[in-house]
Amino acid sequence: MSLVAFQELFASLIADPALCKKIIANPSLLETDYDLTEREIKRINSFFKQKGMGVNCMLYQINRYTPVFDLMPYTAKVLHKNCKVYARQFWDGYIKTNFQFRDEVLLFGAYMQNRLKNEPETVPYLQDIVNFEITYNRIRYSLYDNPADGIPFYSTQLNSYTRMVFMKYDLRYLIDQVITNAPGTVFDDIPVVNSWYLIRFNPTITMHAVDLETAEAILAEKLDISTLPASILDGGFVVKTKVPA
Amino acid sequence: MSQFLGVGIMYNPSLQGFFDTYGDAIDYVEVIPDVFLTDNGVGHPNRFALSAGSHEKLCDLSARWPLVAHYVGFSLGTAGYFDQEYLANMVKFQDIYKFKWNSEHLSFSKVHDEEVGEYAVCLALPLPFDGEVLEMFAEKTKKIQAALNTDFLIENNVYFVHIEDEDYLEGVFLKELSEKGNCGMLLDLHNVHANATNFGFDRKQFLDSLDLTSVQEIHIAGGNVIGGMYLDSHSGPCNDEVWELLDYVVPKCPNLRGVTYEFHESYFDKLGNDGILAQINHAREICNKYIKSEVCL
Repeated sequence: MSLVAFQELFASLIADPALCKKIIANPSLLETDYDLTEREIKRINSFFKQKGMGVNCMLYQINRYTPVFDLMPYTAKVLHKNCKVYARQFWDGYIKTNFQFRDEVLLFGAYMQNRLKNEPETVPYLQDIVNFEITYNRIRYSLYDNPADGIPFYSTQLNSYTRMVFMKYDLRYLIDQVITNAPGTVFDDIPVVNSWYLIRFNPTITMHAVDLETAEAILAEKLDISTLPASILDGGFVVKTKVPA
Repeated sequence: MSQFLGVGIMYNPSLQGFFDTYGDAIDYVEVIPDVFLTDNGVGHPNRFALSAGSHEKLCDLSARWPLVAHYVGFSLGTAGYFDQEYLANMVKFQDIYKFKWNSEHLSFSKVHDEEVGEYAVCLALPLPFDGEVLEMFAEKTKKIQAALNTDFLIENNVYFVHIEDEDYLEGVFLKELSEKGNCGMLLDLHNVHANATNFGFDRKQFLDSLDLTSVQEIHIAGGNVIGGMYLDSHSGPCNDEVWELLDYVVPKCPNLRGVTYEFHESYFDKLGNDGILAQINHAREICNKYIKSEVCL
């Protein structure tokens, strides 16, 4: 069906400025590579002469940035100008998006995690920021499975609004610094703690550093609730009653 | 003829303070059901999953005001595909939340291919006003109207590129669609203003080309210029041209049921609660000039 091909190409063009340039440079591609009628070819060619095509491309980008800026605001603030560069690279690998905010943000988070593994950033705490934002977004979207890399961790002993995640840096201090400083500011005084944290999100985010013994008990799903300090129990991080086997 | 419900507002999360302070100023709330859902993909057994707290929010809203549904994810303009699962969810939502009417857009926002199945365009792209599109679209709206026990409306779209050599003028296309597709019209005056600004046509002449008896709802909003074009960004108060168009068209729409003010939540600080109230009150003043009795259903 020709209209199907026309819509596919229209969508591809606004998502991919490089494709626009390629076809502008070689208009015969419209005849050879796409199943379009003569009228549709004329229509596509006329798009390239209209400033509205640039507006469509801009709106596509604004709309696709929205989940990242809204749901990973600290990552976006730390990355600053690089955020758009990395987002563009992420889109290039996922141009056919379902555009569900959950998937956009978690897949971008996974892209960033992978990128940080292969190319360590000059901002050393970026990995913690990304992991923190993946954590509370997994809570937001009620995801309880444990990803292969264990970031974040959930067990049935934790409240459904709680996950546990390992942080190299002092998370509370780090987030405070990101919030209060200008985008792109690099901090060199974030204390290294190498600690597990419980993160709770409902509807505000609370966090609690836990000692290694408690973290290991949570990981092993053998947490003795009766021994926990009030800060964890009353903070709503764990399920207070025993979960049936 | 259905009764006039009054002046409503498009829901966004920034409105909580307005609802608490000036909730009596509005006659209904319009919601975009898609924002309360995660779409797990075509064929997924639990495809449309309500996000946490969404059902409670919709129930809270419906306990206080009549609700109207404005969908953005059906993508009725997608050629060669009709999303039966989306319709089933619409019917399910209608049963639960008892919307006064439902609406969607004259556009496409998704496409289908063999590689990934369905994917999103990430904005609402225009359709050519051609006979082929009219037939395709009207078949879909007829199916939806038959499945719903309320009126189904189609909103005129905003567009930033002109599509050459179309079979119909937009007004004629919309008129034909109402007839052939058995659907009402949601007339977005700000979209008319944006298109007229960007493509230089006469706003009132355009309105006169429509079948205004099919108009059941009107959207009003504000916008701004970015990239050399006027955008439907819902960026605060309505501009003078939109108010003028509302005053022009309300007396010509005998089946009008509601006028809905839309703004994007990121512009809440620009408006404030009092600013939102001023928009609602202005819309009501215009409606009251021509519509004598408001009946809250």
